[in-house]
Amino acid sequence: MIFHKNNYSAIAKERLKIMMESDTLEYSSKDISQLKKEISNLLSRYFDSPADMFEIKITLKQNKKRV
Amino acid sequence: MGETIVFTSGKGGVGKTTTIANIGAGLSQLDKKVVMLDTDMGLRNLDVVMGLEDKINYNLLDLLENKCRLNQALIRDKRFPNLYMIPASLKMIPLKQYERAFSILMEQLKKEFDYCLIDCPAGIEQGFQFATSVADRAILLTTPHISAVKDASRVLHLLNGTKITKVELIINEYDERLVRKKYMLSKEDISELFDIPVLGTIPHDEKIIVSQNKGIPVVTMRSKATQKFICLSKQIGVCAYDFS
Repeated sequence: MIFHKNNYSAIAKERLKIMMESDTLEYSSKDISQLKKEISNLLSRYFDSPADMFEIKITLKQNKKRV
Repeated sequence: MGETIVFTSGKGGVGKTTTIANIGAGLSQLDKKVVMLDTDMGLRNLDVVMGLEDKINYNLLDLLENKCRLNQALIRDKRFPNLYMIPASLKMIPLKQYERAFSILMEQLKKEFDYCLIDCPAGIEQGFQFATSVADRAILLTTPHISAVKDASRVLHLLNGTKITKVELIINEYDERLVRKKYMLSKEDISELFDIPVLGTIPHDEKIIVSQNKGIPVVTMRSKATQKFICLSKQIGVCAYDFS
């Protein structure tokens, strides 16, 4: 979470973004970061690179939502 | 051929009924023929806000069950010659079985009225599904509170599954001063989160509670909210200009 000094609307906006994204997939944000971690670990085995070298983005075909 | 607009929000108490009453009155003053329908069965309050609670003979459910004729359920507001309403019933029964009849009724109303404004109950359950099943267009009401915005985002997501293609935002209890101080989400913030246009914002206005207590739409009084409602009525009634 980015630190916004006294920018309470920015805090609210970020929280809402996260809530809305995970609602679309109907998974909690915890589940999504877990999923991304597992995918990174899998990829790191195939590509022989550390897991943190991968940035995972998931796009749902039906409504083009991305997390 | 009239347009059917459903006013929905998710969260209760954000101003749907007040907004419908005042946009209905505003549109009628632009010489548009308007009917407002209250679909909040069990908790009807459009009649209360309009001060027409003692004029109810038949309600929407009676009409859908063919227990009365249309002109028996329609309440005409003497103060606004082009404005009519159909109150909700106090009975709470499963509404799915009435969707077909509701659709037929709306087709009939669209021939007679320029605008059919539907007051949707709060929540996302059967009342919401019933109300949104017949609309062409939706106006999503929210306040800048994070909980209201969150609920509105859920409603938006659910509206994707209906035949409603046009959804616009009205933000109530909007405070420019708090927005400038970064205490409150701005209309740009909310519009960006939802990726839908903002029709307008309405400020907090103490005249609103006075108008409801009196049983008259606030547009008959001089107030900040009146200006906004008149503006919103013009936007809806004339064309889709962005006045916000």
